[in-house]
Amino acid sequence: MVLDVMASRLSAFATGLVIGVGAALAQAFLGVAPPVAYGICMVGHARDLVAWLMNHILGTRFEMQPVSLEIPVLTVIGVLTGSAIAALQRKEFKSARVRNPVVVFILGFLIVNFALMLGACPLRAIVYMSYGNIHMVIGFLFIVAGVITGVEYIRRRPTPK
Amino acid sequence: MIHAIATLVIGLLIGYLGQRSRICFIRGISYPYLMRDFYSTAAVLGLFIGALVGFVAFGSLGGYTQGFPQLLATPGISLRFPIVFAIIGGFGTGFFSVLAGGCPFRFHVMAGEGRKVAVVYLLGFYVGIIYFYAIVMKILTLLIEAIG
Repeated sequence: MVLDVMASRLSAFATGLVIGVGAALAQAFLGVAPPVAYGICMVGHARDLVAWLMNHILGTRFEMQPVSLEIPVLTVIGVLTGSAIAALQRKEFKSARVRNPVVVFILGFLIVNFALMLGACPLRAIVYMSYGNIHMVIGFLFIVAGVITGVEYIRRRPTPK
Repeated sequence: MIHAIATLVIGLLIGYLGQRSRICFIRGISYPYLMRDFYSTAAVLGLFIGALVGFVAFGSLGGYTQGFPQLLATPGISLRFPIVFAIIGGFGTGFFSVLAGGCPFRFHVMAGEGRKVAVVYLLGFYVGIIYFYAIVMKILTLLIEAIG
């Protein structure tokens, strides 16, 4: 399979390149806009899909990006499926027990709320920075600050065993 | 219609590549600091360069790249709130993503692999989206109206 050969030779850098070019292509020629720099976003596209479903099924009036008003973007479904195909091919399906399900649930809950406030997931923040958006440069600097604070917190917290 | 198909196909591709390469845009920031591991940092760099080259190239070919490069013409640059939201939102995203152990893209990929921890994360994630609409966005809107 072409993808298989391609992926086995792709480094992390090349994967990043492909995602970046894909995000630009989606906006430039494939109609994934407005807003700009919205070709790929794991938070915004997830929000659009949820909002679209809620609005159509429950009749809510959740706001979403203009591009998703009539037909929503389907990135998250693609990523879940693409990853499942790759895992199936390599028989890499993993199924370990979750140690702290409540903590993990709360982290996912908190992260999406902060990311929606920022208006981007880390992936889109980087794409938006290359679009020259100053807010996102500030946002990314504070993502880095948050990451460093988080690492220091992990280093210092007492480890319950 | 084309945007839905395009995002589905691009999603399939990057989900596939994401599973193979295991890249993560939070580990690209945290691992160099935590353990001098620059593997995912290369992905962060590649993403930035790929998008930049893409916008320049596709823009010159007549693609839609309105306002590129934004720089000082960034929409709403004179307003106070986008910057406050970028600061609080960015910091919270970075901090809690380190505790979770990955970026939202990585967790979607891990959920595709069938990892239960990622499925639980995504449950919180999608409930969180609804909570944001129901509560947070209303509070933020009131704040903007009150303080301007």
